[in-house]
Amino acid sequence: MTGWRLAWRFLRRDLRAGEVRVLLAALALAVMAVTAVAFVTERAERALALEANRLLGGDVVLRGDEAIGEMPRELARNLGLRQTETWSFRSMLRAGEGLSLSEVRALGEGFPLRGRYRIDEGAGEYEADGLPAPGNVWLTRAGAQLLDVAVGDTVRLGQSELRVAALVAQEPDAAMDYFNVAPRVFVRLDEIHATGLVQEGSRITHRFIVASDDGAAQGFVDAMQNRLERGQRLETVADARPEVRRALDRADRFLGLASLVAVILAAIAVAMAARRHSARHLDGCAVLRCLGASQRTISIIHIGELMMLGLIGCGLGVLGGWAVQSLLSGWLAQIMNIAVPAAGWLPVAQGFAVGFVVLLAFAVPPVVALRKVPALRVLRRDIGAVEPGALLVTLAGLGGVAALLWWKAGSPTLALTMLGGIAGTFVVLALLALVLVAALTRLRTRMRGPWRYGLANVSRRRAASIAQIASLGLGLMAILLLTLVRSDLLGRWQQSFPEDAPNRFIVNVQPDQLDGVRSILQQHGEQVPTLYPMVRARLATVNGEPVSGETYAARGDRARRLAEREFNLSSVATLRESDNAVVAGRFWQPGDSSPQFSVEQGMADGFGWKVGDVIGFDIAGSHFEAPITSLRRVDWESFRPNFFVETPLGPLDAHTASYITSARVERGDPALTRALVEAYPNLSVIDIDAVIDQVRSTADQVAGAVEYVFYFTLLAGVLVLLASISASQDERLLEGGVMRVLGARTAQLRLAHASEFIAIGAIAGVVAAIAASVISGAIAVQVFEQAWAPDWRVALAGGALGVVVVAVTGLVATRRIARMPPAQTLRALAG
Amino acid sequence: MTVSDAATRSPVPAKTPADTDTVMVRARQLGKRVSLPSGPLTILEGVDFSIRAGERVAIVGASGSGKSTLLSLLAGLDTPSSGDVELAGTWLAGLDEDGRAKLRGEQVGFVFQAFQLLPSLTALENAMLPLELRGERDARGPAQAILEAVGLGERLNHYPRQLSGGEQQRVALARAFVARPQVLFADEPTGNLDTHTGEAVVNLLFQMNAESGTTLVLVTHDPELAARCDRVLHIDAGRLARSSHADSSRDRPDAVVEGDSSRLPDAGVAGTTSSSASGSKRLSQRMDGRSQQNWRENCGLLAS
Repeated sequence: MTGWRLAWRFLRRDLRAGEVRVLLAALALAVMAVTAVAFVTERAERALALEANRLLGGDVVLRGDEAIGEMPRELARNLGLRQTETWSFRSMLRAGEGLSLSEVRALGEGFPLRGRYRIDEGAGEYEADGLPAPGNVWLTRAGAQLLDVAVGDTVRLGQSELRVAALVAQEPDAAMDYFNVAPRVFVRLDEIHATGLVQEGSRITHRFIVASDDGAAQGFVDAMQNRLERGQRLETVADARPEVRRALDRADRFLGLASLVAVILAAIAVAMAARRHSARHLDGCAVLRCLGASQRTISIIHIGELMMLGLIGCGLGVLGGWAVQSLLSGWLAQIMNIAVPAAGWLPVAQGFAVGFVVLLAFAVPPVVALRKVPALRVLRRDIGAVEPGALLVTLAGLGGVAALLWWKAGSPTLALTMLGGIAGTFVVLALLALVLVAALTRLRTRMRGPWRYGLANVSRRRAASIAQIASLGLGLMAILLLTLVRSDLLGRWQQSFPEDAPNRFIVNVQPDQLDGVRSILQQHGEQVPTLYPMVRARLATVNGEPVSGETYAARGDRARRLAEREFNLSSVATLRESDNAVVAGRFWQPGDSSPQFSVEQGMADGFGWKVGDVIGFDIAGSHFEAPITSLRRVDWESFRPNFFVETPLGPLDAHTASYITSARVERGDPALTRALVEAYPNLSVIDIDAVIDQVRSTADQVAGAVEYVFYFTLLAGVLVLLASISASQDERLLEGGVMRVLGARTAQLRLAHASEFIAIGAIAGVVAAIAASVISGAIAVQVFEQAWAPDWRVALAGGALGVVVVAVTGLVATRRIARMPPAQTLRALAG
Repeated sequence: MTVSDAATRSPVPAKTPADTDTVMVRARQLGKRVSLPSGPLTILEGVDFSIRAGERVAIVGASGSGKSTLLSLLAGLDTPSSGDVELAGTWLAGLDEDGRAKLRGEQVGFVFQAFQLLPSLTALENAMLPLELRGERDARGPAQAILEAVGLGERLNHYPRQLSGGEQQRVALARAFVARPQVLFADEPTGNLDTHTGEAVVNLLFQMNAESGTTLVLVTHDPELAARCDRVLHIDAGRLARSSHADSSRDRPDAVVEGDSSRLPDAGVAGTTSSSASGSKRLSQRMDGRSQQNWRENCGLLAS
């Protein structure tokens, strides 16, 4: 008990004297980084859970891209389930002058079986009972705003004029539409045919929804499981929006791992600070030993002090994490497009767990060694500077880091990869730093007085300097990398669109509308508009063998999905050479109308197809089979209509097709869109500019979240700097005093310190810039498939950022040295 | 008790008439008090004395008597609670911290018990530092010359940690003398050395002092060391108890004792500004065979 009381007294003393500030700050930062991310992802999780019940509008949804047949309906009837259905598709919605691509939800009688729409007819929100009345529609608030429509106005959907009866504040389903800002309009399913929008080849998502109050819906799932048709999928509350859940899971894992980089750097700072802490307690321990304290008492005092410090640090970190996430919650709500519920207590527990793992792995070993201080040190100060066993420190540290990574990564392999990645990056940064520090050592002989002293300090404290440079470099690198990837690569991606790239896609053109659409396009400046037919087909056989998604499961997700979903076949007379190039086989001659396929190279690679393979498609129930005669490489960034699979003109003529084309108009010019939709209400005009803007803003939002985490990393790097400055503070005080005695003025002393920090900052910045450039280059080449163009301005910016961050931190941390009167130094020397 | 103007009775032979008349260090009613939780504590009180240019003065006293505080006040490292110090013709009370630093840089050299070399700098760089801080353009030449003169010509690029205690103190001596200070303050310069090495360092210190004619103010516990000075100031409980003269002519090189300063024409002349960094180079160049041999012997002792 005495030990604990002493520990508390020691802690209070150390806190007052500012001895443990860096240790505390590093610990708090580690906890804060982890907690902030945990809070955010937990809130997202909770939002998801909350929405999950309302998400489906029922208990089970059978979803398909073709109309749901009779079998499931009968099954539901037999099971005594309530049932209904919805159709959804995209179409243009007009309101006066306003025109927008919107999502149409056609709601069957009885929808929703679970949950309610919250609507507003102009007199406040309430929960709607049932569907819009005949001749009426509901519109989302965002849609009403976009189209400048109020309750009571009329909108035009296809060929129907419908009255806006209410604005929808909350939907029972699709509440989790990430990044989807398109207006949604709700109509009665029995009125949808009157709009003329539903035609052969229209891409419609059909949802058949069942519910029961006695759990019989599970019977529907069991019975349907093995009778699903192509393109059909069962959704239950448990697996509602799996893509959202996956995205969230990935975000959690990525942000969690990124925040761990900050934790690891903070741990380095903790270790440095703990070493100094124990060094400063050596004398005290020797005296305690002299006065009869046992090793156990000494251990209790110091470990107890650390544990109490841990509680305080973790508490501060959790508070900080909570503050950061409340800043982030606005952003989260915006991205998720729903209200985000408050977080629970789990992140708090996580924060404390991480804090104590860091403390145990990095701070305890040097402090444990204190118990071995011999009492003799009281007489002879040169003995008894106990060092913790190097093996213990390494094992404890690595063990701690590995445990944290394993926990966040969820798998030992990923954890090991991460550990390797971080360690590798760190080692590369450290090696670069080593080279630059060595160069600095040569440079210093050319420098004078204070400059030389500063630079000499960098090379003398070589190990500490390199640790500082690598840690700061890692933080700076992360931020530079993010900046590069976000602005540079996105900018270049956008620039890579040809000036004349089409920015409007016109889809759903019916065969009888071809001439009309062509002439409207010509009126708006398109010289020779080409309309490409699209025939919806599903992969059925390869070389006579039936295939399904399962056949290609081993070839990865993409191949499996492609094999399962419907996609569009098209017919062309000639190869469009501006963005297509044959890489294998021969493309057909104009006029050739024999059945054959030209397949996009990436798709062929994905499936493992080659020229000569015979591919069979299921087109609206009939089988169409032909050999592959050529493979094409497609430049998708041309933004012209391109197809995975093409045939010559002729073979597909028997099948119903809709047509697609593209056009170039002035950015934001509505004239073409209006003309087309006025003439043919069924057309969908997709604004590519808007898509690009959306990609940009999405990238910005995601980068924003990641940036927060990386600032933690930079901050942790700064803490490593602070820890190492504080570890050498006594030395610096003494040296500063000696320089003072030798006649150094304040400005000279500050210059000596500044030169040291400027050098460290510049090296860290340059090292970070080099690493960031190389990595972003790799991303450019691998992911964006662009040429790598290193930018020297990045190195400059990195260097400048490093210099500013380090010089400011360093000068603030060492300001005491210049202020210290030299006599105090002399007194310290005399003692 | 106050001993005023004791220096006028100094038996030390004057190098030039101007030397004996010039006061290099003067304490006037010097006092230092600090406030402690237990109440105010007087460390020094009413100390009055002056030290002439070229004079060698030892400050002795028991532990806690205030001698180190006195040294720091004289050197302008600390500010007195009362009284004032005149150092090389300038009253310190009128100067701020940077002003005092500038004065030190120009007029004062230091030797410490713990050497206090900067560990990140080589022997040569340590010796260059005072000249560089003073803004001299050529610091390397004089620093190298004086290191060679103290027998460290082969160790210019060694770091302090690579040098023995005696060698480190020789670098410290070189650093103290390189800027040709008017006054050298030494704080227990042999405290960290064994008897043998300590003696050699002291010999070197006195010899260099004599060669350059620098005023020497030495804090020591060692009565023998004190006896080699011209005068001993005894500090007791914060007051100047007495001032005694020692017979120290044996430490003076013959040339200076005989009053022949021709070999060191500008060395140690009070009031001369030490702007000439090459002076120390001349110092080593102009040493005659005998004094060079003396240095070498001392250096040899140190190296052994």
